[in-house]
Amino acid sequence: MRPSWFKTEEDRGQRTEDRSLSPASSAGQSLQAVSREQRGRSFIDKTLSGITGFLKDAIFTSEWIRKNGFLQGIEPKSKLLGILLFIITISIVKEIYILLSFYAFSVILAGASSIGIIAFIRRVWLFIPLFAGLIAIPAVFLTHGEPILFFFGFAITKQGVSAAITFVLRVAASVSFIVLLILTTKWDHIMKALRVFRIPAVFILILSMTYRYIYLLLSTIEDMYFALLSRTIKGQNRKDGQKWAAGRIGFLFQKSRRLSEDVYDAMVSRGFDGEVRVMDSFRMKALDYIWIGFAFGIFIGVQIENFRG
Amino acid sequence: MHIPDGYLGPQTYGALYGVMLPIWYWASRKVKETLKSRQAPLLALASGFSFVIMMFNVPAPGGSTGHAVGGALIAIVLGPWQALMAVTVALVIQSILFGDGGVTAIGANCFNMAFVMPFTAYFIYWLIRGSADASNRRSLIAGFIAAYLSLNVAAILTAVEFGIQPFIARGADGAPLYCPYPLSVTIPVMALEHLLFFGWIEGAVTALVLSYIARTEPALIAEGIRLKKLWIGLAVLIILTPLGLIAQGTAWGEWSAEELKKILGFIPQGLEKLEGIWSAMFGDYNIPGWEGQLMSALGYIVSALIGVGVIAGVVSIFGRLLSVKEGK
Repeated sequence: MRPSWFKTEEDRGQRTEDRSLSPASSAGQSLQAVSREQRGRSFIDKTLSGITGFLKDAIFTSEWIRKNGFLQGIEPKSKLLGILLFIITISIVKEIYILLSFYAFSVILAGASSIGIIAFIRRVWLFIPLFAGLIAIPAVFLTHGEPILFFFGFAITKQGVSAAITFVLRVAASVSFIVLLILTTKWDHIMKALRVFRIPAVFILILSMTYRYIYLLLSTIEDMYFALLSRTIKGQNRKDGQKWAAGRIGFLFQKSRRLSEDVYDAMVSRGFDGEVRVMDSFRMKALDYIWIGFAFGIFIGVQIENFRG
Repeated sequence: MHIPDGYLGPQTYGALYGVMLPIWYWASRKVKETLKSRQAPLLALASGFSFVIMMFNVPAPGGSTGHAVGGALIAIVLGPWQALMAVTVALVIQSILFGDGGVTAIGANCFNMAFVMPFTAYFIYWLIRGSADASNRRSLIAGFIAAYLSLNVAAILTAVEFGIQPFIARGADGAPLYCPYPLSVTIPVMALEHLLFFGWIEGAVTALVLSYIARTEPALIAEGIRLKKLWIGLAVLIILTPLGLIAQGTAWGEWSAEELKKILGFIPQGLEKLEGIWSAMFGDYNIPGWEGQLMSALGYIVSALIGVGVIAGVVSIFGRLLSVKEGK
């Protein structure tokens, strides 16, 4: 059963009247004029809504992996390598129209991988490129160059506009490709695919274990903040709130240390001898070779284009 | 402070990957030595802990909330090498599985947050704490200062990495290709918000968590580095300082006002005046009258020694004052 705070935006819209019961209210709440009680609680609300958002994202992500699509069919190692090649290529592009083509290509790939295009664009632009866009705005004025437009006495320069567009497009295109990887590959396959870079097996093991514990630790934090919320009537003053949160951080640290001992014992009792073996049954098909070849060809192409320019 | 893809050009992120590779290699050997086969679960949970520490929101002044990055805390409770590995694992997972922080920028992010921040914090902490007890007020203040300073160092490094982009890479029409702001914008912006806001949260959270651990499980933070080791490290660094001379041009970040003008297009206000004072004292780190390569190398070493001496003096006086307060 979904807990009451785990609702979509629509659900929450209908429930505004009992907002006081829903800790996952808007994250911007601390900016509004809030009563003293709410103020003493806003750090609880923010933590709980942060964790909810994180889990929601993770669930959203796993939705597309099982679908049948182009990228889902590519073998994980080649997919990782190809996507990283694309991101590196994007990082050396100098022309806006080439960046735009990369972005368009990522959207086409999303379509070909049965990812809803609107959902994909939203997932990509919220938060990182949007933020990049916000911080790029002053660059339009601040960059030295030929003025093309005057805005309340400030000159907008051609170079400024081009810098801002290049910057935001590059960020958006890079994020698009990594999101494509995340949306179409199981997390443990991504980890195993890292073997392609000769990363020692023990680190693959650590990465995989870490990923699992993140969810355990998150649910522990959630319980802590819920427990506090359920005991809270009037809200904490700042000092008590800080002390409480710091105590929980310290406690979580101790808890995870003890847990690691138990986990180690459990591993040994199941036959762990310190040697890490990663099962790797990935098989390359013709399509995978074409995919890698294509990514590499594009990389060389952009290099040549840069060299000529 | 997670740098996304697209903010840094290949020269910068490539160089920082290059710097991190030997550090990662060394750290993995160090960690293997100390943790043996227990390393897998212990490091996994430590990494998970570094990942989720940012989820803890804490009340901040003015009714707002904030969270700590945790780099300093992790270094103090785990030791700097384990912290390096744990934060690296957390950053890699954030980047590849959650799209938070760029893939090309993993080297840069690890340099700032997994390497420089924990090591700075760890050394500052033990430098100020000295041989004081974990629950002593001096130790808690050491935690606060270590967290505050190390976060600011990491923030300024990030700002520098951003700010050099317009000088390194420009398109055909002269427009910057990556982060569009020069150092004169990135450093004040990053420094201000971290000096005035985030640094205080980082410091307060770190000190409060340390105080909790000191009360409940003091053995965790009982042992640190022997200060002797720290001094040996510093000595090596001092002897290496003349390497700055071998590098082309002026040491990175040590531009004179004139060189800055070339790079920035203007001289930051106040720097011009300050420079007069500095060159009056040590002029370009050379002891007046000492000429030639060997002499200027010696000059570098002497300047470094004096610098370290002054800092150590200030810290030790500060430490004395604090423990006197405690004794009352």
